[in-house]
Parts: sequence; C-alpha cells; structure tokens
Amino acid sequence: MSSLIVVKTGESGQSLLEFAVSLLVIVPVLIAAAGLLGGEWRRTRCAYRLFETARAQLNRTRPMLQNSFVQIQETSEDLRAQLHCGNISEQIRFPKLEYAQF
Amino acid sequence: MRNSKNNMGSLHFPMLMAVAVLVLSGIGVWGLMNHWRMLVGTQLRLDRCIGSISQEFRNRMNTIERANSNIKRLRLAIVAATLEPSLIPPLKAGLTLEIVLQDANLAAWKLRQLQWVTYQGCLKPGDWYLPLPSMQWTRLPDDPLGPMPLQWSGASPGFFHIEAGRGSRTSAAQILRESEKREFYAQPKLMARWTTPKKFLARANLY
Repeated sequence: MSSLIVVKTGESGQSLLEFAVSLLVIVPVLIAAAGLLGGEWRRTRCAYRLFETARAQLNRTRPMLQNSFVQIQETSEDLRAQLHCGNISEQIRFPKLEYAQF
Repeated sequence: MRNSKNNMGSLHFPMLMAVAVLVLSGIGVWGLMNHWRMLVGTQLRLDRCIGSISQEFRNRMNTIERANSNIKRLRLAIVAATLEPSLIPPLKAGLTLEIVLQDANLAAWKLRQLQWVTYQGCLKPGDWYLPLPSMQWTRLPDDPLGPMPLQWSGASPGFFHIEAGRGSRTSAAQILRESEKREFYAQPKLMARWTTPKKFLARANLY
C-alpha cells in the first residue's frame, strides 16, 4: 500500500509570519495577565494571612499561620494588625466586643 | 491512501497550549482567592451575628439587673412612705413600670432564643450553634409592698458563652461581670468580649 505525502512548499514563511504576529499579540497579553493575577494573588494571600493571624490573636487562640511577621497593636478598644508582604502592606482593625458597632 | 500533512497549525498549537495553561491556572488561582474571600466573608458574618446577639444579651441582663436595683429601692421607698401615704401610689406605679420592663426583656430574650434555633435571626441554614444562654430569673409572689425583684435560680454562672459556626469557621463570645464595681451600691455590670471557641478548646484537649 503506498501513501502519498503532499508537502506544500513556500508556506513556511506564512507560518512564521503568523507565529510572529501571534507572539506580538499574545505574549504581552499573557505577561499582563500573569502580572495582574500574580499581584492580586499576593495581595489576597497577604490579607488572608493577616486576617487569620489577627483574629487568632483577638480570640487568644494559637495563630493558624506561623512565620507571619504581623505587627499587632492592642488598645483598650480594638486590635490593629499590619503585615508587609514585599511591597504590599495590609492593615486590619478588629474592635473589641464592648466597643464593636454592628 | 492519501495522507496530507499541513504545518500551518504546528505553531499555533504550542500557543494554544500556553493560553490554555494560563487560563486554567488563572481559574485555579481565582477559585482559591474566591474561597479565601468566602471564608473571610463567612467569618465576618458570624462575628457580626455573635457580636450583636452577645451585646443584646449583655444589655438585657444589665437592664434587668438595673431594674432589680430600682425595684429594691422603690420597695424601701414604699416602706418609708407609710409616714406619707400620698407618695405610695406614684411609687407603686414606678414599681409596676420596672416590672413591665423586666418582663418585656425576658419575653424578648425568649423570642430571640426561639429565632436562634429556627434560623430566623442572624444565623443561616447550615450554620451550627450552641444554644443561647437562658435567663433563669424567677420572681417570688407579691408581698404587701408589691411585686418582688427577680432572683436568679440556681448558682450564678461565672460567665455566659455564645458560639456559632459554619464549617471550619467559628465565632464565640463571653459575657461576664466586670471585675470592678463602678458605683458603690451597684452590682458590677456585665461586659462582652470575644473568646476562644469551645470547638477549638475541645480540639486542643483532644490532642
């Protein structure tokens, strides 16, 4: 049984052109999307770590997340916590129950 | 048999794969972020719920205890007013007002307890909870001076615990007496504070 392979010559340039155009469009989009997603990811993770650590401190329970360099300032009315994750800084304030407004 | 090869798609395929990987990882990251957001949202909802119900319990207990003090004072005043009987009717009216205030607070708390177990309050179906503390006040029958103040039946607990949760999220509060008396004759008021959930304490004891 014989098989016939048809190779159209002269189309490699067309493919390379399409590849280059695709790269021009897709690569910046991918980089921008990855940067945006990465930034949001770091911010969310930072906020979540801060929330958990500060809340554990407020409840006098052991923090669930260790190795968190959370700065906690406790006053008679509330508990303020701050966490720096790289260039991201998150702050949170939990009022003590006697002073909380709902 | 005719087998034709076309290399036009060979370059687009890796690009498609890259886009697919990015999209899938983006969906995954977004899903995890959304999960965290939901956890925080649930926690804040539980905190608001426990916080508001704890403050309500504290306020109602303080109101009842304040009314109790007023009732005792009014009853003493009624005894003293036997020297001036015209003062007795307004004093008795004041006494009745304090009784009505106490009964209204007790009834309102009973209603809140009912709402709590039927998810009509701030809890949502699917949340778990500990029953709200009962106000074990009882009133002795009236004596010639009029209605009696309320008395706590049984030993007075050191604190009251309110707790609810959903899944892994829990919120708990304690209502306890302030350590200092603010007024010389007054009983120390009740205060509310966040506390360690019993669920966590049970887990800590288990291990």
